Amino acid sequence: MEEHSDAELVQMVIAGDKNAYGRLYDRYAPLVRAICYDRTGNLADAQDLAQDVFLRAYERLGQMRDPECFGAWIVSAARHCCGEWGRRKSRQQRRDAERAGIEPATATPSERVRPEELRAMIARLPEKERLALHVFYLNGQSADEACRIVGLSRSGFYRALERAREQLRTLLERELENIP
Amino acid sequence: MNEQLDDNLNEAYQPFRQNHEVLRAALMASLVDGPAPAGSKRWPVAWQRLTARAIDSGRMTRVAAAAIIVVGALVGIHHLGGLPDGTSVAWGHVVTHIGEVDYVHMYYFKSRGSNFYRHFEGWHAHGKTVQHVHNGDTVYDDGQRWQRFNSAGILVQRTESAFPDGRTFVEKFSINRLSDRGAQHNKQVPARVGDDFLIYTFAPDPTESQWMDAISITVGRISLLPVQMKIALKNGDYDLLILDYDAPEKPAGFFEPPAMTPANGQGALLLDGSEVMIDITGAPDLKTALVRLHGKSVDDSGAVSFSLNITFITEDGYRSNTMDIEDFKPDEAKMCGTGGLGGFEGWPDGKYRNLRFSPWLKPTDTEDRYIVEIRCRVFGKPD
Repeated sequence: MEEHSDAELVQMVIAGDKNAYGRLYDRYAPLVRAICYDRTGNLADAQDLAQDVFLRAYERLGQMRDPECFGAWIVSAARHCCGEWGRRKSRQQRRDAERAGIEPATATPSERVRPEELRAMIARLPEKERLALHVFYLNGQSADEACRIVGLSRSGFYRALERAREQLRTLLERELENIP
Repeated sequence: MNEQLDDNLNEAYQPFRQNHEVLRAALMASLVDGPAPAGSKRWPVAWQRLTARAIDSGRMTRVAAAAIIVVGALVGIHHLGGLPDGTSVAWGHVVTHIGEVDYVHMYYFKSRGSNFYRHFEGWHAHGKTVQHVHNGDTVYDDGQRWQRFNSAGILVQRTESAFPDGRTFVEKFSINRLSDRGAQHNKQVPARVGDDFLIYTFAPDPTESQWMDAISITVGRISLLPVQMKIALKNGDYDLLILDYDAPEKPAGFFEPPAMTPANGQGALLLDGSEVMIDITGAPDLKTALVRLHGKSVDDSGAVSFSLNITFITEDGYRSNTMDIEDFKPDEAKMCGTGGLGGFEGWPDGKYRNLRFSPWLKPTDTEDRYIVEIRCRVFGKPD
């Protein structure tokens, strides 16, 4: 299959080729799910939210100013949808709590060295570091492309990645001081 | 460690690729119309019906499960109401009792498969805690500062106490899971009542329900003090905290951290000033550290933090890459090290070096002027 650039695929979608959007989805859906997971804390909700992001993005694709920047644009859309999701969730929790006469529970991030626990740790990293990790481990694209998605220079990207890994190491080392 | 972390990260990211084809098909099926033209305000109408619910019934299953739990809990509470004495002791009473204890000794184990892969022994008395950690480190928390020393007695980490504002040890070690969770939580009654023990069972927080099965806490029926907390995971692993209160109390000196070992280097830093060269002594293979303080920020609570750049130079004249330590607070020490992407395996002489260091930023009487102390060591490749 011919490998089209993001910009070409965007143009093809706008021209009516839905399959081209599927290829953009293949490229970026895992990354968008990871970003959504940072907010939702569970995979099923992250998958739901990521679907929502792509559907909304599809509707608004014609409004994109720079099709070359689809990666950065979809990341930005994901962050926006995550914010909306968080606000909706808070309202829902408050309503549920009022109905039940209890205070809303607060999430307690886990600190274990298990995949789901490591994901919870990643969700606690600063956004720049988190995004660098997501892109590095999920997208498998060229460094330049990864830098464009994250909005960092090449050296800035690798510094963020290094900081992320160092912070994860520190969290793992402190794991024992927090139970569970 | 780097390879292990890489493996762990690859595994952690794997689920984001799961169900991709099914989700893709659901998305494609929902793309009824083409994208809206620029300036349009049209919103999707189909998005609600394309979700992961269809593939693994995630949310519906969770809702159904939650309903079953609620019904089960209501039935259970109703049933327990008719049992003999002890059944109506609310968890809130246990929390109150443990808040009054000023001495406790504990063991903590994490089981993974057939091994305990992490563990510690801890003591808590008069607001101070000591933990002997499996790797030989010792952690001290005196209610003001949390400090971690390695087996050589060298301070490797220093940060704020885990017991601010009178927070109790049970709150710390349960990350608030066992208390302060609202009226409903504190009113929870035992799930099981024996002759000697009451057993309280807590469902996991929704954010943890994918991997955690339940938390059960065994409480002495007369003392109303917890003796065991077990966190059961869905794969059969578990974490176990064993508490006892009758071990001989440790003397006050036991809770005091060791005298600080001298720093390997020390220098004065001015915020946003030039890079400062600090001589390193007593750390074989290292000669100099270049340090710069910048990036001051103040959070909503008024807490100040900085970025600290550190570059090390070896006795042979080789420079490490420059490490940027962010969110570094005054009067704290951080345990830092060479990262997997730090290029430390690629020194010009081809020699492997793993550098561990702990900078400590001390305020002075002059605003924006700090003293930095650096404790550091170089390790070779393990055989």
